[in-house]
Amino acid sequence: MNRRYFLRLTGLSGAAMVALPGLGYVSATNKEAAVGVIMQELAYLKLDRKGVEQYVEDYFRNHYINSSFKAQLNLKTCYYLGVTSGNSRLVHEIVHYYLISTDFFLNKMDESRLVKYLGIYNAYARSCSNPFSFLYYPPEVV
Amino acid sequence: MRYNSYDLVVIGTGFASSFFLHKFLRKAPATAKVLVLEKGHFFPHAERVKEKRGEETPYARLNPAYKDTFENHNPEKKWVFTQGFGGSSNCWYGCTPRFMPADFKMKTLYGVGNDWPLQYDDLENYYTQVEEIMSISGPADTPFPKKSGYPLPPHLFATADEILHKEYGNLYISQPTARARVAVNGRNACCASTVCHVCPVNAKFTIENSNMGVYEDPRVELLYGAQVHSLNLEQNVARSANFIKDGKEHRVAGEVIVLGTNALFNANILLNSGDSNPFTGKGIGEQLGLEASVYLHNLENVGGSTWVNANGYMLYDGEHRKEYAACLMESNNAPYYRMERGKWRHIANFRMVFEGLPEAHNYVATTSDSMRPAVHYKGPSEYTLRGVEKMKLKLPEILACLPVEKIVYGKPFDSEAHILGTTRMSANPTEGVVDKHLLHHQYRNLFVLGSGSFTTYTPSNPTLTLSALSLYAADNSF
Repeated sequence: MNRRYFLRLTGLSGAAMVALPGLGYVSATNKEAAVGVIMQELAYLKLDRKGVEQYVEDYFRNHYINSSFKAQLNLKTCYYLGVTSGNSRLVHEIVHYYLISTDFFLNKMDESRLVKYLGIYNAYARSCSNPFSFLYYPPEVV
Repeated sequence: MRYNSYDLVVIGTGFASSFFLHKFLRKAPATAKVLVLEKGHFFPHAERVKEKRGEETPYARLNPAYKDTFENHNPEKKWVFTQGFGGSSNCWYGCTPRFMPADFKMKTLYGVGNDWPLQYDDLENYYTQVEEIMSISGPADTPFPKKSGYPLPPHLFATADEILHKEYGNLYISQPTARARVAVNGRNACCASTVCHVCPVNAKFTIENSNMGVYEDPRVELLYGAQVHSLNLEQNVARSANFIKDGKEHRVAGEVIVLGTNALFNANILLNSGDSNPFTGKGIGEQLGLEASVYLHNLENVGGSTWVNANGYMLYDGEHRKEYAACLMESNNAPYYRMERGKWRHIANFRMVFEGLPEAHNYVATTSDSMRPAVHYKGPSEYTLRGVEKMKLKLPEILACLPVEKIVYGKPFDSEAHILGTTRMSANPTEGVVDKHLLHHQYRNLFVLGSGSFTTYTPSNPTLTLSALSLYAADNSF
């Protein structure tokens, strides 16, 4: 996200944060906003919502967003305004990391299958889990 | 410490020291007395993996963070290494291409830098020995001459690599690597986890898993926590090494002394000792790398079997090196993807690595703390930066065999995790610090090992060559 775009979003966010509750919307928590941006961005996939929520719990643990009002504002703005990963580095980071932490790529990007969260992607917790490697695409398949 | 004086005193336990010792011990008598002084401590691989999993391990506190061990006067530039037993074998990624023959004669061929005082053919046999010890995986056909095959079979290409190999033959090869293709010598097979600095499955060669037998040899005494800060240089002879252990100052004499720390600390120790060679500490540098993300039209790029699947030499050697830097391509197999529906893995990432040049305004100097060198680095050479610009012009044509949508370049990385120069090798003392046997031009019983000895900074990864140089030096000096 470039600076100008961010400032515009921040301004809109400020206005939205004031206006939306007045219009009857309940302000989302940071985690709800994070779940929301994932569900919005990947609306065409069958996501296991409980898995998404668990991912956000895991992802937020020790994340700088917990102590950064600026990042929280950014996230909620993106959520309320439907900003996608192409326009927000934060949304890209959250969604990108979510998807690699699921079985979506292990299932060869099959959109008909329920996408299940497997735990934060960590090669030390699950070695040999690179979903694009020869283990999942052996030579005779490539 | 059992004795006050040893036949050989070696400082450091990384690649350079370990391969030197390996050859030395094969030639030395059974009565030889060898002392190895290691600044840090042993941090076993299994404990490193535990640390990476977020588990507590007391070993994690034994060695200082590398960043705290020197003064960096250019915070935009990182110099990456690992402290402790085995040195940077604990953080390297296991890439082991040989240098090209032309890399050793840059001045003669291209009028750039200087010629090395030894040539590719001098090292050929030692390259082979290192490849055997490390159980290197690699292809049958390579762009550099090679008299024998690699010990292990090559790693598998990803889809884009297959196409590039078909187009360019031995200019685009499965990367020779110390990440084992099949289980070998106590190591597991690499499974492309792509976090090679600490391999989760212990597939990468390290000094710890090397089975070289060096530090188990009864002639060798290994002292941990021994921080060498200087040598006593008298009448053109290195007499002894001064070190601090457990807060106390110690001195040990050696018939032969070997500096086998990295290029920062080898230079610092020499400068602390009063070495007046005008090249000592000068010319610190390394390669420059940046990522090229190649978006592919309807081509799923999958299937590689390791971190760097392939090396591309299409921009490496040739007359262009008179004008601009060589570039080595690394095909990257991390689990990256596009955030675009249906195009997830329609992408290939390449690390483009450019050679550097030694420049006098980049240097290592001493500080008031004898243990902490200072690094002064102004930035990559114009020669290197011209290479980057030329690459951007040429890459679309080189990749024309792929269905390229677009190429997106990242910013240069702040480090390639190689530290080169500071004790460069030369034919005579007017041009460098050490001779072709890595013996100091002035102190003829003092070896100064490692990539600090490199005369010029080829884009190829340095570890195989610095290890071969250690074998060569020990084999031809004892």
